[in-house]
Amino acid sequence: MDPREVSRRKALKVAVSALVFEVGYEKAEESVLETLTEMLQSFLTELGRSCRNYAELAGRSEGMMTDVFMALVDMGQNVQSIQSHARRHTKSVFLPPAHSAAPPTLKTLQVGDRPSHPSHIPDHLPAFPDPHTYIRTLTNKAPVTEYQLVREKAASQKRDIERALTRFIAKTGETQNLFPDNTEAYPLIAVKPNPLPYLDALLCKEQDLEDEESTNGESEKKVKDQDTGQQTGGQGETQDAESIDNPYLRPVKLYRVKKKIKLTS
Amino acid sequence: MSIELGSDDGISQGVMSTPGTAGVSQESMPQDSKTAGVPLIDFVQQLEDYAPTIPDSVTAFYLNRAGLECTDPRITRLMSLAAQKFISDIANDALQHCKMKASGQSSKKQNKDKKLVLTMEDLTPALSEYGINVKKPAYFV
Repeated sequence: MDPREVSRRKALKVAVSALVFEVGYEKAEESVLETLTEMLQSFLTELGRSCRNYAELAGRSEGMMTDVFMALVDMGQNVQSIQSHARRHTKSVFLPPAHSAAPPTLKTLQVGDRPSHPSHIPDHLPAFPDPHTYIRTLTNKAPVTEYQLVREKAASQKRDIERALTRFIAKTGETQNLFPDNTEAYPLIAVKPNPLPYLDALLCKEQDLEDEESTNGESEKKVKDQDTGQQTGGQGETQDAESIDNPYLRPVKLYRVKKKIKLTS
Repeated sequence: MSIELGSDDGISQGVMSTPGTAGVSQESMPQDSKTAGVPLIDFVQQLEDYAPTIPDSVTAFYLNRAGLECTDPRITRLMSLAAQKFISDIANDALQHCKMKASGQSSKKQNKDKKLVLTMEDLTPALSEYGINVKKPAYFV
């Protein structure tokens, strides 16, 4: 059944119960109450129907007092006693729960505000649908091409990356503390001491640790020889090395150890 | 219950008859009939503040169902009053039946059962006087 019908029916049942209670009964059978409710509903319906018919017969569309009167008489009701009934002492009134309007359809899926009707469309027509259904907007933003902004952006990104990386390594690796009492403030990435610190500076390529000691003395002298431009080994320089202009970027040339070494000051 | 309507004026010239009482003859009525509706119309004026047991919205709902649109709430209240009176009359008659049975059985017990229960057995004879015959099964078949 229509929920409106159900609620009104229940209100009628409550009214019937109140009336029965007024008469003097403490309890009533369920079937009796149902019967009386049904009778009440049909009485009201018949009264309304009859009243409407009388009004229409008189050429009116709305019910008037006299139409009600005629309808009551038509149904055989004693009209005079209505007044006395209204004045009874045991009258009880109950406030029904407020009949709320049907819940509006949930607007959970509504996105954005619906624009109002233009002036040439009356208001009682349905509203516009969600604006995203008929308005097209480009989703990609025009890229920023201004040199200054791009430069700024690149610099800030670079700074952020550096900061993030250093912090990450500081958090995950060993750290040295700048302040002895505050360990979290300025963590510095711990320096791993290299047994041969000058090796990294001298050589462009990484060398095996096995060859370290044997080539140790050589590399010292090689650097000195290269600086002065004199060749001690006699090994010719390859053509590949010559193609790179920067002498510090050329691949390392290992010379055979010779007993005679010219030391230049 | 027979009703005769003289003409279709606003003021009715009809005969009102209450069920169960002797029908009033038509000849004696015409003099009173002109004034029959007037006190009621006056009474309606008093209905402005009245709140009947049946809420206005419920009554209006059923009247709308029947096709009657009432802009005047007093008319609606009058109708709900008439309906209330109808039901309470029936309930009163059922009460009389109940009390007759109770007094017939035992007056040695406490004076008139403190708790009166409205049952179908009391309602059926009360309704039959109105010409309504109810037959309800006592249990679901």
